[in-house]
Amino acid sequence: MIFQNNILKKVNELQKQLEQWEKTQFIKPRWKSGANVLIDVDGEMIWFPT
Amino acid sequence: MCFVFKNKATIQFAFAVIMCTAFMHVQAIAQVKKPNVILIVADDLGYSDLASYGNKLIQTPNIDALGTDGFRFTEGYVTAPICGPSREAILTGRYQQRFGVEFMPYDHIDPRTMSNLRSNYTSLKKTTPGLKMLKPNFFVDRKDFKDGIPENEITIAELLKKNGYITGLVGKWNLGNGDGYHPSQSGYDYSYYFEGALTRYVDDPVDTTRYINQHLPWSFSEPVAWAPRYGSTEIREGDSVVKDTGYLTFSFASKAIDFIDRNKSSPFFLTLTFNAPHDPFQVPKEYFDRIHSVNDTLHRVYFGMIEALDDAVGAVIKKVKDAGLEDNTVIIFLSDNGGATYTRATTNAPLRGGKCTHFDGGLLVPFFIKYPGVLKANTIYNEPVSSLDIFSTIAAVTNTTLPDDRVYDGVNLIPYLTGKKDSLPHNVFYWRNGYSQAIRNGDWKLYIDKKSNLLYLFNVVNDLGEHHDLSKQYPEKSK
Repeated sequence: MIFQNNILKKVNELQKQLEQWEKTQFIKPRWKSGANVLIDVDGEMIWFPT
Repeated sequence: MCFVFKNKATIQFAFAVIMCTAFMHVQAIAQVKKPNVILIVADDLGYSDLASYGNKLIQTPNIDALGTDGFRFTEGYVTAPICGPSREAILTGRYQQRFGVEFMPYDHIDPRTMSNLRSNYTSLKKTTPGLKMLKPNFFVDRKDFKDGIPENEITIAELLKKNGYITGLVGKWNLGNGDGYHPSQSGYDYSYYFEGALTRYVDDPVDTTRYINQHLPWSFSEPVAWAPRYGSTEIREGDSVVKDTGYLTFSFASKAIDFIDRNKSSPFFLTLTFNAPHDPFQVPKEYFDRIHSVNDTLHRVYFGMIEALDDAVGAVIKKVKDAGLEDNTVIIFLSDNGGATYTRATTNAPLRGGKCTHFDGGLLVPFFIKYPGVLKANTIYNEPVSSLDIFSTIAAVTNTTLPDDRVYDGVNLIPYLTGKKDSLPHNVFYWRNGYSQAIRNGDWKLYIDKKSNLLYLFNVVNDLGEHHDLSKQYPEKSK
């Protein structure tokens, strides 16, 4: 249970930190992604915008 | 020789002459001591692609020597797992998202290739199965966007030029196409380069007795990679398009050597951005033949390209030594992102994923700094550092003041590497390419894919390969 709570806490903490960074430091992309690519990562297919 | 000073005025004059001469001498020494800087960037060179990073199938003594003569980093992060955005951060010292760059600039490629792709995309998938992995946005109106480094961003070349450096860019640019985005408009006095993300190593017609082409039909990049040199893939020297008839890795080394030779008396900053080993895969036959221990053609071509890259780096380092500049030249080497696993030529082992992913295989790269007399030789640095640090480090070693009107995200690494600072250069690293985002804070890394609603949590210190997604242990709670 303690481990579970620590994991949840860590996920929330990192999510918030990333969101905060985006809000305060980054601007909207100046142009759109030209393509999405599908990458095979150990059998799991993951999209990525290039 | 003996001088007899007959009056006070003569003595004062002589004193002034001596002081003036001494001052000029000190100034001359100070000028001589201003270090040269060579920043070498490889293209898609993966974490497991060098002998010093554990590859037992390849010989890369020249690049590896930068580590035996200086520092090798085991956790050198870049700011994006794709070329253009990563390079924008390296050359500006700032997260590229600060100025709106998180996708690749739109390259101007051969119109026939582009037209063929647009018109025959569905049928082309039969001959290029890799296209099934690509969802291109053919209908983006490029005229609506300015796609390159913004005018108000300051490159390290611009900064050093103002500090008296002669600056040169040799290699792949990828910081924007066309007027407004040329290297000469970003602080480079000399340039020999191509604008885009890739180009052929050997132009048509390819002499197949000297070079081997390896096509990658399983890769989404295949049709564009073999487009003839046109627009963004043409080779340029300054403002002029030129015909390069050599093997591009060696042509770039040769132009870099010429630049060093021309400027050996001045402090210089050379940015040498090889396109190796990015596809298209083309290798000189003698380098293919050198890879004895590998049977399959794909890996022989890929490793041969890396050994050619290593020889090219070796030739540049030899020039620095032969010119007597070794003790006064800082050399930094890194890759722009992790190895492209979609080519099937590299794995980035022991890391997971590669280029076009926010797993560490896409973000941790081979990274070296050699600074004789300041940094100890043969040192491995295991704390995480960032490609953002290159800008601030170069500014510091060249005694160049950073502009105070903007935030710099990197730090000067020298005090950390010499032990003057015992804290970490960074605790937190951020990545964002649209819907794919990640953050590392200390031992922890979170990877979010907002398009597919994916979330991964890793302890990257205990789990270097990011195999154990801790969020999956409690899936309902982590959403």
